[in-house]
Amino acid sequence: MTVDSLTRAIEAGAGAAVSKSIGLEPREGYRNPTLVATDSGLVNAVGLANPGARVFSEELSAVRGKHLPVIVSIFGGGPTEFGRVVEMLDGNEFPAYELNLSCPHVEGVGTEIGHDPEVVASVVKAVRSRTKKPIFAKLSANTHKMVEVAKAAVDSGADGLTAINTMRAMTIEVETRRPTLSHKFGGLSGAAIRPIAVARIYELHQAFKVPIIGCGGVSTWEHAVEMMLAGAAAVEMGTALYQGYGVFQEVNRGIQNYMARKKFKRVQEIVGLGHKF
Amino acid sequence: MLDLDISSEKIRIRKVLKNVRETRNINTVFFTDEASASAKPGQFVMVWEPGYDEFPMSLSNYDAKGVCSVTVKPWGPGSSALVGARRGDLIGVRGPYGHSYTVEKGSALLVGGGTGLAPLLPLAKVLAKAGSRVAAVIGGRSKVDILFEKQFKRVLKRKNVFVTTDDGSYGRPGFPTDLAEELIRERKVTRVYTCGPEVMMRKLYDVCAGAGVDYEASLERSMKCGMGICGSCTLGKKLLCRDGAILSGEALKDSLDEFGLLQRDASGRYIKV
Repeated sequence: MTVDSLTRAIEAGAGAAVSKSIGLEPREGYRNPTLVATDSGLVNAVGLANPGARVFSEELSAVRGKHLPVIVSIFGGGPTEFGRVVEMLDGNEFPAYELNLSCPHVEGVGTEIGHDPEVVASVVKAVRSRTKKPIFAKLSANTHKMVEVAKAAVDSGADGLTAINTMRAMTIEVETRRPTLSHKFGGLSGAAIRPIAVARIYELHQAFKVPIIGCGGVSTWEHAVEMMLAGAAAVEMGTALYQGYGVFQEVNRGIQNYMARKKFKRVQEIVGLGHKF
Repeated sequence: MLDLDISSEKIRIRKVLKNVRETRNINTVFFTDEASASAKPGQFVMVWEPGYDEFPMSLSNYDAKGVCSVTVKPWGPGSSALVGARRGDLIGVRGPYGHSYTVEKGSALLVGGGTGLAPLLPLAKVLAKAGSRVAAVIGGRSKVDILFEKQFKRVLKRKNVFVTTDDGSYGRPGFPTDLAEELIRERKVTRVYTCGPEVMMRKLYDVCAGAGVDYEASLERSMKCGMGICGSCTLGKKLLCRDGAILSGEALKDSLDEFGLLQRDASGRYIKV
């Protein structure tokens, strides 16, 4: 997502927009097919394609003064790289970072980092020491250690958690007998992973007080409300863009109607309500 | 409310029916696919060349029996493999995607260069059927590079088809835009349709904007998903897969700092078109 595309999402009703994950150097990502549709959702291995921190920083500085709610997602191969990315970006005007600790299909910068609580602690500390902006750690549900990883992130200074990233996945095309994605492995998004996400958000809300951004298979207001009831203070949508940018306004309106119908005044009131039972 | 269902975007595996050599480096690959054959002129499909690449391609032919074609020149490993495809080889297809050219009854001018003529050929057929007055300018580097001359002449009659070559080896010497400028005046053209090198299309945009003539172009950008999700094929705030690949002069107005000048590569950095 370019800053232009993020701006369009915000204009279309998104409260904030999360950038593509930005790394130290430009990356072209993997060869196509990088995304493949299945009956159970979308599998992607885009491969962290991004223009690099220097170029993205220039894009951000071009919109200085507009106060765009663009959350910048960053990735790296360890605390040093994460730290350098932050140093290059931090002078720009944006409200928060999201640390991609959970890409399921890029070796060395994804789950190798995000499944190891010690490495996560060192990464979050490296970022924390270089910025005053809020930090969200985006977690992988591809590990039984997710709560442990979350604890490492929160204890090291993360202000919030995002859950979940895509689930590691693969498709094989039967006529040609080939794995469809050029990278073979990718991550599953869409409807199929939403119940997984809801369970993880529920667990995180039980274990931590920090705000949680819910993510995974949200495409309607009901999905968004479900995640909020599980404990999400906000939700992200990605694959739902298949329906076009109008999806943001539609979800907003649905949440508003729900709130009115159930006599809630502020959306915060419903966060975590699913835990009462 | 129904949950998000993207199963209609699954890759469909099709057998190559035939591969026709058009010029020294352009081939037309035929296959049967009913969904693609339901396309409107200017829509595109994503073609998977297994083991190599997946890329957007305009449909150059489609008929009522479901036979379609894409017309391709080798510019990378995937397109090179497709150029070399043999009868019976398997390819993947999904789509059709994107907007189509506007079909109306008027005085139409089609201007294309190289493989850019691919989407203009079905457009010529549809416009002619709709009762439009249609002319086409077919450009190429040299005589041997001229694509679809016979086909256009069959659809539009000889007198309405004009050939230009950059090196002057055939037809009118020069770029298709020069001749187009004259024809716009002479034929009282109401809408110009173009596909080809972006620098050419930009020049034509400027001509049409100056002359107050409606304009539609088929653009190309680095594309991954083709379905509005990945955000790769941007032109300003637009996504070419969903908002294009056909864009009107009106839609291009806010992208004039990029159109014909800059595009983003697969990493998202700007490079020259």
